[in-house]
Amino acid sequence: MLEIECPWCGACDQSEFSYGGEAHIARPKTPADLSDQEWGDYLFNRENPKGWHREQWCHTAGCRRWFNAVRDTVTCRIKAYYRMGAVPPEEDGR
Amino acid sequence: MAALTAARSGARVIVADEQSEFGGGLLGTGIEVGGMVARKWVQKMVEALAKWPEVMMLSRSTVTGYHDHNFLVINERRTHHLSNPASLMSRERMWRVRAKQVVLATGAIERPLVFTDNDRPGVMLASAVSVYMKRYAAVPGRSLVVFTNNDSAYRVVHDAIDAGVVVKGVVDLRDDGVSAAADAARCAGVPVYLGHAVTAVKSNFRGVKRINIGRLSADGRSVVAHKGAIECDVLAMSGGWNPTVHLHAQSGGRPVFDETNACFFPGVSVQAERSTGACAGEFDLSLCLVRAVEAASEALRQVGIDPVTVDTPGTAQHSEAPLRALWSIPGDPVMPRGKKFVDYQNDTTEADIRLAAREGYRSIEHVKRYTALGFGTDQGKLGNVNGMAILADALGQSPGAIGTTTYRPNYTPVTFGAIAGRAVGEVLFDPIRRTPMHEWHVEKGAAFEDVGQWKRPWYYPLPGEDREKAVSRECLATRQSVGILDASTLGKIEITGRDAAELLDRIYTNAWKSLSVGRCRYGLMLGEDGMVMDDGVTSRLSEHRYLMTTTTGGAAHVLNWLERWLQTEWPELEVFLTSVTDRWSVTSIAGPKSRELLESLSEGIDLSPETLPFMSFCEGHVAGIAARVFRISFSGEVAYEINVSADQGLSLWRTVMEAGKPFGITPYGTDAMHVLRAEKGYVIVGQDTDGSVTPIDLGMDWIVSKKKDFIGKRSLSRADTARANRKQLVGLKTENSTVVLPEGAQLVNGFSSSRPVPMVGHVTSSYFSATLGYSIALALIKGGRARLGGTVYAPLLDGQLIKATITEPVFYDSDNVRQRD
Amino acid sequence: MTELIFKPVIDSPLLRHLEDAQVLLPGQTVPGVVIKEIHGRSLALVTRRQDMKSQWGELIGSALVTNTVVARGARNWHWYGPGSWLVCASGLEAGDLAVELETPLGGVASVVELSHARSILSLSGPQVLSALAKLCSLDLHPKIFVVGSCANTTMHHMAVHIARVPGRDDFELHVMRGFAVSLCEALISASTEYGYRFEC
Repeated sequence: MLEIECPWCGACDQSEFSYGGEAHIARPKTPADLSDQEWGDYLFNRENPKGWHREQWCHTAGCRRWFNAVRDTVTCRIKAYYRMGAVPPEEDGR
Repeated sequence: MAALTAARSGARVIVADEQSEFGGGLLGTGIEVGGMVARKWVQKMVEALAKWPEVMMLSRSTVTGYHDHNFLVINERRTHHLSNPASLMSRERMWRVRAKQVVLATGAIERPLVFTDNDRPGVMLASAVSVYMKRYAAVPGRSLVVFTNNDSAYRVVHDAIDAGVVVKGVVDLRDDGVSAAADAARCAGVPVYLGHAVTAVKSNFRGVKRINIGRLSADGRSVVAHKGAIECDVLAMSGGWNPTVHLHAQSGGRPVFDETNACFFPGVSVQAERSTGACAGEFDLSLCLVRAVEAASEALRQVGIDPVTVDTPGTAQHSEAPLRALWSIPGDPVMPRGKKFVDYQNDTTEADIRLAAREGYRSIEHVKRYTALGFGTDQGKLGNVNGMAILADALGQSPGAIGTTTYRPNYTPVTFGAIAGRAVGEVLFDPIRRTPMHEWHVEKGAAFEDVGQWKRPWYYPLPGEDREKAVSRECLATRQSVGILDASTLGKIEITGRDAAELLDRIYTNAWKSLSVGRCRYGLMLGEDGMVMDDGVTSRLSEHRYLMTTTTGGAAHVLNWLERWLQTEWPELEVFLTSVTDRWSVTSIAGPKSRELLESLSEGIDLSPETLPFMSFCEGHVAGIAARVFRISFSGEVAYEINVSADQGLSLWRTVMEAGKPFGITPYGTDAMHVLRAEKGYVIVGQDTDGSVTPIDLGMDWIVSKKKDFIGKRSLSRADTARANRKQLVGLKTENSTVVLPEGAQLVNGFSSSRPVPMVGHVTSSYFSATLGYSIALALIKGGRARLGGTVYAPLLDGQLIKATITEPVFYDSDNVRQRD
Repeated sequence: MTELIFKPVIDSPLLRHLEDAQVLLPGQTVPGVVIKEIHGRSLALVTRRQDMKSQWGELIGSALVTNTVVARGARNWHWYGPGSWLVCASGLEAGDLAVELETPLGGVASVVELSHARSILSLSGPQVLSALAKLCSLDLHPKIFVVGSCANTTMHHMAVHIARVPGRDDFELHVMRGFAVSLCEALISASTEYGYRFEC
């Protein structure tokens, strides 16, 4: 079980959080203008990298805030946290 | 020493030891530490540690798992050793620990030698023989031979002599050379056979009778001369020591092979852990103690604690000569018989591993699965390194190149009981949610249905009634007079803030800004993929205040869903969401007499249809209790949902029941509710939908706005979502009107020669309608809307083929006259 | 209008499902854990409007810190999330607290009345930490979870708000009303080996 640092509440067990998948997938402003292909990309296609991954978490059982984390999908090490709307920290090799 | 260093420095410490007493290997030796017998010294250390209030000493406690982010699981066995344990105490306990720093001092496990007949009764590990004698004062035999490739096994020689056991000799695989240990044994009068091996063991069920020994060739691959036989009871063997690197490996470290000691050492730490002592490959006791203090000091510095200085005692242990790694010991050259076991639990032999290599297996993970090496409950703790090395030999590689199999939790087997903990039985397996009226339902003998974690009354059988009869009675009473339902479980979310209506507009498929205060509207929400996710009625309480209801099972998900959109995509919207599900109790009354009943109880509420029309609400008092009354219907009858504070829900319910007696008020459960709504063709999200159904599939185009965007809208025009032959919601009437189709039944167009028979849909809801006098069903059928009046068949497991006609999904009062009355 | 037949009383799910109980170990005089229901508490959730930070500061001050409980007169403000507080009061009629808060805060915050939505428990006794450790993943060590701390967390898969209210030596637990019985059953199960008293 991971230990995740909520930007507000500090380090808590993963069981208090829910996972939101890849971060920075903005909802298109005018979905009607998108082709099926483009809309399908937004809906379904994710990077699924081996290595550093910017992803969303929510402290569901705590303060109920969504935030972002940069996690290594191989080792599960988390090297950075940042709030929604904040600029993501630099990432190794990407 | 590590724990004491940490405790004295002011850290909070847990010491977990697998054994019943602290002390590990020191308990089974005669070595002196700090001028006293090791066991005594251990006792003093334990007493010193116990004085520190922030030190928790856990014996009989195995760290069975080392997981991500320094999460450790400790399995404590609390009562197994007690003859008369306190009945209130759990037998085992699982500690779940998030450690800032971990010092692993897990020791080493002695390795067997792989030689002919090595699994005979009476062949034991040398350290085990010592432990029997030194720790438990039990001799495993009267005469002993030691078979070793290293110095450590010479300790058993002296332990045995102390215990009065005759030591017949030491067979040492190492060639003639200077060894202090061998000299000491000779001084004690024990013959030492250097460069020799045990080639056969004769034994019976009582133990060893006799062993044969032979002279080894220089390369150790063959026996060049038979030396003779030695009579003995016990053969103590030692193939060296394997550091217990399991927890280090579980933490993500990769053990590395050390050629000198012929074993795997911990590799680079990945988490905040460090190994010390024998598990780090340090076999010298004095140095072990020094290293332990160093390890603890380093761990303390990592968390910003200044370590205090702790002195380590001296020991009387001598330095040891190197071992000779001979992974497979040759047997008798003349009459090679008997097996060389590698895995003692799964009977994997040396020959099995060599066969695997000949069969073409190269990866140790594959060889493990081919031979069952390491699959026993010891998970290869005794045999795996020998097995890996034999494979390496067969493939002409070094053991380091072969590597280890994966060390996974748990280190030792853990009972399911310990894992389940208190989450067992009716009461504690899963938390139960009860409505404020739960007590009443129990009193009336309701059968309950689990919906999410809620207990909902399913039906209320009268004496002699079965489920079918009870449900029919409840349905008829509601259609003819008045029924009462506990609807408290519906999810309720209070939505406030300037942009509340804007949020509703974006989430629901229909328009919300036009809803006036005091009115209610039904809404459908979709996932971004266009599939129906939840539904419910939302009411406008005041200008910027709405009350949303959700399905019982979907409440938490919907709240998460709304919050997520607000926080991640629309932070500019000012909307506040609060779950108020538990704040309100909801008594729903439905039926032609419901208005009359409610009028008799209300104060300050005008229930006339002009003032309180269908899909509106008002505030006032019901039975003297402040209430909100919503005129909403899920049954198709005139119906009211009376919301009062949870604490007053039961009082209100009892009063309504009493006042309803003249009308024959009938409580009904979820089963009758399902029948009533199915008669009206109202869907239940999660029953008639399954995450692959759009509002168009449900024939609910009327609720899908063409003017605005909403979550999921774009998906409705994707090629697959818009195609004509999607499964669509229709009604079914069986040819034989008393036959009720099973829910979930697959539907076909009739007999077909193709296999499998093409399936055109399935039944989602199915009941016998007492009101209509025939069986009704809802179904999702491919292109169903275009097939109204057509026929489908439901083939059942017992060979029946039930014929049914496709109909509109509304069976009763299709003009909605009754509920608007 | 029909007369009220059953007088509405303040009801509690615990009163209806569980009975007061005490289990003492041989030789024990004081139970290891004492679990009591707290009645008559009014609750309201206050959430500050995002664009009202300065007005908020003038009204409330800035001492309401993450994961703390702060006493403001007879009201305790429990931090519930960024910009969000659960305000607790005793001795008020249900609903009065929300009205009291609405008056000054109506323009700068959202106020939602929650008095009946939660059941509130007090936990104390010499073994209370041992019992809570079985259910709660938070570190409740008195030097870490000091008096004045609060947190939302889970216990036995139920959402629970836990607080050490200033001026008291117990732990206060808030749970959704529908789960109250299940939470008490879990607490009793965890406390039994230490001896316990339960009062509702």
